[in-house]
Amino acid sequence: MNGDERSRALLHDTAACYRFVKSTSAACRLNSGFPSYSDPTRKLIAHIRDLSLSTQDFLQTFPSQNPDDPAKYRSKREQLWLIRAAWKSLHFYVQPAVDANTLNVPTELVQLLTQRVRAIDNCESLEFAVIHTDKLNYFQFPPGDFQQTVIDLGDVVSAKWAFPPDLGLIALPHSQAQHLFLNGLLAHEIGHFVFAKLNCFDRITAAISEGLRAAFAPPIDTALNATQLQQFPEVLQDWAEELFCDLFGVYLLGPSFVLASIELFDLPNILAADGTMDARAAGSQFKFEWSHPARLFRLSRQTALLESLGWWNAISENGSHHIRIMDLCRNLRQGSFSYEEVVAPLGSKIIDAFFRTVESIEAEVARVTEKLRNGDGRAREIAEFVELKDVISTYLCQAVIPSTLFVGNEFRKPSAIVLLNAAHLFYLSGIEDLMSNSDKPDLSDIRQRDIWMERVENWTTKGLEDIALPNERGG
Amino acid sequence: MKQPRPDKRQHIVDRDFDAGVVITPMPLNEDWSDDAVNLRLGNHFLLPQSPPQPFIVLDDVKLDQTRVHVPWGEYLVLPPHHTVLGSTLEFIKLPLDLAGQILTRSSIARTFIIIETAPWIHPGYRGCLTLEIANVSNTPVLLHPGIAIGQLLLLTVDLNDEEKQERETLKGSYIGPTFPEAPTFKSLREQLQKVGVDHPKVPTLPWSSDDATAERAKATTLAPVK
Repeated sequence: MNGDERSRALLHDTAACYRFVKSTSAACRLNSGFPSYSDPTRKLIAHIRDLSLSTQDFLQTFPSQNPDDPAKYRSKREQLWLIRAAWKSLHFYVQPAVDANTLNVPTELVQLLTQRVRAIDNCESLEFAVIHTDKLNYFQFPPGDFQQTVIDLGDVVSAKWAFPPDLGLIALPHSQAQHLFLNGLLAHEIGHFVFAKLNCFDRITAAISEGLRAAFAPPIDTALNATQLQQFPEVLQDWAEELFCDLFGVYLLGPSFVLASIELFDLPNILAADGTMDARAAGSQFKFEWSHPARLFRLSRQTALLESLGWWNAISENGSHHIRIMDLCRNLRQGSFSYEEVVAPLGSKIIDAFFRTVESIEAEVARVTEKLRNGDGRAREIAEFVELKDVISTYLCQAVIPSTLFVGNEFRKPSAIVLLNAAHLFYLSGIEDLMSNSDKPDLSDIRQRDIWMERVENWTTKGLEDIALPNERGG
Repeated sequence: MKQPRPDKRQHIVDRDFDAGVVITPMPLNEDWSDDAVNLRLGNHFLLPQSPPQPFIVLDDVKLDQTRVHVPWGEYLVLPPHHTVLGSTLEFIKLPLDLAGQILTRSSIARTFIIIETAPWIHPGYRGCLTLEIANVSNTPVLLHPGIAIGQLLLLTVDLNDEEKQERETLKGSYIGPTFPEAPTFKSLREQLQKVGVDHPKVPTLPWSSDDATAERAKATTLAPVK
């Protein structure tokens, strides 16, 4: 190509790149109208919009810098390619963020979780932009991924942007935005952010190494290749982080988090007709996977934590089959679990190594959440739960939002955690009582059940919103 | 019926759960007067949409309305001569011996905002109150959630035991709403059959290709006009 041809080609491709950036970020409009967004999501959208405007400004002057030098032409091409690559990455975030307006995100729950997390040392300014995903799962975007994209883009367009370091990005399934109780699983994803921010991994890495050493003594089979050996610590690291986040979720939300886990993991399926564990149905739930510990293991540790915190005694009398499932998981032994993604004897050794690490992980979660528990705060929370759970159930059973309770001749505003947990248990075990109070008490009518279940979630959501209001009377 | 004169909030709330009024979040003391309590505007609104046909049939079809959430500190602009469905921030539950009436606060009314055209609240009702807000002035008005917009009056009613028992069950089209809900109607045909009309007339839309409209027009097909 001669100089003119190069110039025209570059002009065309710069304009095409400009259009790509402009259209990618076109949805990032933040007018004062609707839809409305939480502050963290607004920050994320505004950040992407600013990146877009800066990129567009850069591209506007880009061709005029076009040199005739063929070597520099190559460099220009590289820059355009890098800009496109960065925006291909950013493209991923735009629509999920724009869709996550305040009608499509459990805003009150996210605020509650954020408020709880901020009680932790060095987490005082954390905030979370909850965005959508088309996957039926919850996950946290490692902040480094987004930041690196932004840094790479900034290097090209000679700009420096600072992505808010305390802004976590969490995804929830777009279809589940209205399901308050299931969304308690967001606590697990927040745990991932805290795990990274507080460098928790550094504190358990020694325990992992020690666990591996102990489990694989006497010396490891020399037939193992180096790659396999290298993978063991990585697998244990992933399992450790997942367990950390599970337990973190329990500290943050109490039993409601565990009940949500049972729902997401489809664990009611393990129940046999007589209420015991159906060994065949439960089989796969005992298996560790390369990225996650076995679901029943996770549930057993969550339940054990509830027990040690004092929650178990407060909820064990509830008639829900979810409580029965928790009860079945309380005494699972190490030998019940398997890891079949490596040859047989190794799987049990890796699990053994992990079990040796569990205590350190639990200690680390307890250390991190110490401030959250705030002295005897947890005990007070559980005592309040015991005192108010039946009152809250009575209110819900009468289709009344339990955010201002009249107890013992005085107004009481329950704490958000108490309301959430009592309402969640009612959701699981009290819907039939509520339906019996209605003029359509056909308990076998699934549509009616759905309506009342949705109502209970709506009342609880509104209750959390009421409780969060400042200057309200009561208690 | 006579109006109770609660000296303070406790007067009407201080009874056991079944017999007492619930208002939550509880209004502040300053919002209570001798004969009424102020209620505030909630965060959710239903914006009416222009229907595909140039009229609304009060039939058992859901009207297409768009729900919006207005966060604290922000506002909804209600243009002149426009309407919107809102709701109270407060959720109320009335016992079986009290009915209620919600009225526009006088200062709000003086801006020619009307908040309620179906103000009566039956004994046993529970839910946030849906407000049919109309701006009948010539000026746009900003609606900020949280402003005291209405006042609730309570009136005693005498129900016999049988009537009370009937009202004890949760029933009705709107049980425990927490945000404004679109209206629901019974079948037009069924309603009018009670007055001897088998084929209520509804305009047909020859230009419409909308299947649902055509289907409804077919379902309510009218006897030829003689």
